[in-house]
Amino acid sequence: MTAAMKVTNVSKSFGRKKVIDNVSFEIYPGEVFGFLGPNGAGKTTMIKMIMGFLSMDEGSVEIDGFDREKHYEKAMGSIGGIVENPEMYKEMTGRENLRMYARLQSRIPKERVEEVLTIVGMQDRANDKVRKYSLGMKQRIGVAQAMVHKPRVLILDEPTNGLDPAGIRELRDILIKLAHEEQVAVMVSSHLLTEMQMMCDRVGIIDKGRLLDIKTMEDLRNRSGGASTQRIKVSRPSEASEVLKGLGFDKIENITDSEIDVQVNENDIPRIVKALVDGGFDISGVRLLESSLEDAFLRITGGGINIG
Amino acid sequence: MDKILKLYINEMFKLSRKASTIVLLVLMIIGCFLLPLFIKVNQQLFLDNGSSFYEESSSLEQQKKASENRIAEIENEITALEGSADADIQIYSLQMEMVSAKAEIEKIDLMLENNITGNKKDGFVYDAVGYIPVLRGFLADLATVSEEDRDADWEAKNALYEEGIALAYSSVETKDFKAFIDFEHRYYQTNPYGTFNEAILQQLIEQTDLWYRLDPSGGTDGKHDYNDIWAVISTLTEMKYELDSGVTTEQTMNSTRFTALSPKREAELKDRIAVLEYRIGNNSLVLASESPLWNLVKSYSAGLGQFLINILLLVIAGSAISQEIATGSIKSLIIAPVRRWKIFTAKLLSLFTTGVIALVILCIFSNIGASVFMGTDAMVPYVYVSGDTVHSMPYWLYDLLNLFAGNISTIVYCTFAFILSIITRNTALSVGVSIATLFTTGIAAQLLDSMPFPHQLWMDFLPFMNFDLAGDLFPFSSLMEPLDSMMTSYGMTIIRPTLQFSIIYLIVLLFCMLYIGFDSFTRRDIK
Repeated sequence: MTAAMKVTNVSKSFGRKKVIDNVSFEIYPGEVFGFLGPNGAGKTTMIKMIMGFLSMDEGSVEIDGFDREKHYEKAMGSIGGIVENPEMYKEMTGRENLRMYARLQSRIPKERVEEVLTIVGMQDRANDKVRKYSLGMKQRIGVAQAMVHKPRVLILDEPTNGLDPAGIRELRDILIKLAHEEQVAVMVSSHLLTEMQMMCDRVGIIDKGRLLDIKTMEDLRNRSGGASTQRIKVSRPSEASEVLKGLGFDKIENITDSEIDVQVNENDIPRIVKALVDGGFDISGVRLLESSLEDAFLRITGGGINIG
Repeated sequence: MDKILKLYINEMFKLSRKASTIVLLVLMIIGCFLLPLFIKVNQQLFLDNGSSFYEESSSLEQQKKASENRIAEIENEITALEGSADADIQIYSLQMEMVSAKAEIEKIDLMLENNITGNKKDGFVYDAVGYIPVLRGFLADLATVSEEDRDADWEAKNALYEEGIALAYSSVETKDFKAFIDFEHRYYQTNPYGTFNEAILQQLIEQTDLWYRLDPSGGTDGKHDYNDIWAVISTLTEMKYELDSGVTTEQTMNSTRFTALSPKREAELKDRIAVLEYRIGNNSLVLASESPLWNLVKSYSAGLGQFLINILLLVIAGSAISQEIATGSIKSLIIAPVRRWKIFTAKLLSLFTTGVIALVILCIFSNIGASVFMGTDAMVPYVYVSGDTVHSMPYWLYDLLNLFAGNISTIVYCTFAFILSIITRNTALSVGVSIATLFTTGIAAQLLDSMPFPHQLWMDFLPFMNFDLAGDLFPFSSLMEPLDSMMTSYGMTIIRPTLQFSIIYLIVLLFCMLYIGFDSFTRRDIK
């Protein structure tokens, strides 16, 4: 399959500080690509370079087969997105902002503006001035703007910022639908792992300007073998741990006076609990300590960063 | 081009939504009506009453009384002198004086009787009546010639003088200006004082002819003010005199200088004479009494408009890029598939379009405002000489072009603010610095003009020395104002670079500024 966007060996420095270091990746039609990294890792810088805000020191970006430097307008015509917060002309209505943006694209039928307003659920407020919008409403107009020209590549920088849980769910559905049904290549950046987990097909992990790894979601899950760390509050933990080992759960990470941290698959929990109760231990609680993806993530990044 | 056009449409749309655009334009339109209203209400303060001349009947009575007293005195003096030897000459001159005193009374009686005071409605009649004392004097002179010496010439003169007096009486009733002009021609030809040479005679005749052409009623129909007509006549005559004599008279505050006519001045005079004669021929003169305050009103509204337009454009230009970066709205431009130089070009074009629209609005409303309160008499075509022929340009076109020519500086200031906005990315700084520059260059220009040292070459390279193109492009504007004899002297002694130099200089200046802004905008990161 040909890539919808191809980023090759891109580097960028601000002064002496190298903020993006030789990053290459490809995004394919029909997938949601997660760009995951902590704050300051270079996610927004990379996106701004793709979008033409910043120049690249080295490397190239190719969108829909067009080199961004040589065929700027063609390349940029196939891309849509939001960088950081969506900003619009505050004295104009949402619809006017959309129309102005749509005018700069090549040939968009007038109904398309109304269509995207409906998709993002803003048709009722489209005649209000942007200055009256909440952050979430601006975000919706931003998404509408990003997809009004049916781009081949959609790039959203921290798209769930300012959205309420229902809004996040809606946006997720929109993006997944665009990717899987309309074969759009969607790239989403975030520092929130759980978010990525819920919508991405592939994840690129970036830290300190370097792309550490690109993994499919499946890969990530398999890496951790589906296991997660559970903290079991139990009486006589050291004795209990022997029982667990006897059952074959030997990935015990930590034992304190009252708790055991152990890696197990979720469906094994009832068996463990039963065994411990049968063995005369008092269990006062079992809780998920770390998600599996975070584990994998920590292993890839060397555990040196905090995940929001 | 397609993308630039679309960007340009967007920019114009954004500008139309800016509160500052609307507020300043509305202020300007209000000003275009308030200024003429204010001047109209207070017009007595602006009008110079000293120039209109007429005699009160009470002062005429006093003059009459004085003449009567003088007659009584003369009678006494003659009685005292009678009989004494060698008193003939003295008695003769006293008799002559008595004749003119009596004629003066005759004139005043006629004036009082017919309410002739020399004001606007009297026109030439006041002049005709003024001939009475003069002609009575000449007649008395002629009467002293002995019978045998009276020849055909004497007869003719006598008849002419008699006719003149009769004409004075009849013109009070008939107001026959043609007959008066006819009389004056013949009167001048008699060379009554013996001091006229051919040239002066010709000039006098031309002047009366011109008067008749300008106002066939001689001022008696109340349409034109006698003084205005004579301002035109004397202006034209003075220019012709300067051209014929080859001597330029320069009047300064405390001295009068005579210099030989320069070729430049000669060409200028020829053109001006041609324009003025065209105006006279086409009835497109602006007369002081008919639209005395038109130019005052127009200059005030143009000044106010220019000020507001400058502020408006500097605010727009100074925020053009920086504000979009500050609010983040630039993002939707950068993400859109348009190259940055197109954004730059579209923004610049929209800026200049706003300036042009604002000037057109100023032109329309300043003229509407002025004509509502001051009438439309002064809206005459602009007449100019190009090559060797005289052309005329419709008033509206002239007024608009003149406004543009007078606002060249706006383009420079506006571009300056625009590139400051790009380079500094700071709206307050760009707007503030460009407005400060606008004012300080004005002051600097005044200062340099008032400096005692002569004009030097480096001054030509100061931007603000090249801003005033209106004077160069429309040299005949002053002939659209009410004339007075002052206009033939040199108006401005301020030396400015030539039009060609200014235009090239401004183009280079604008190009340099735009290049710097262009380079910065197309290459710098937007973080």
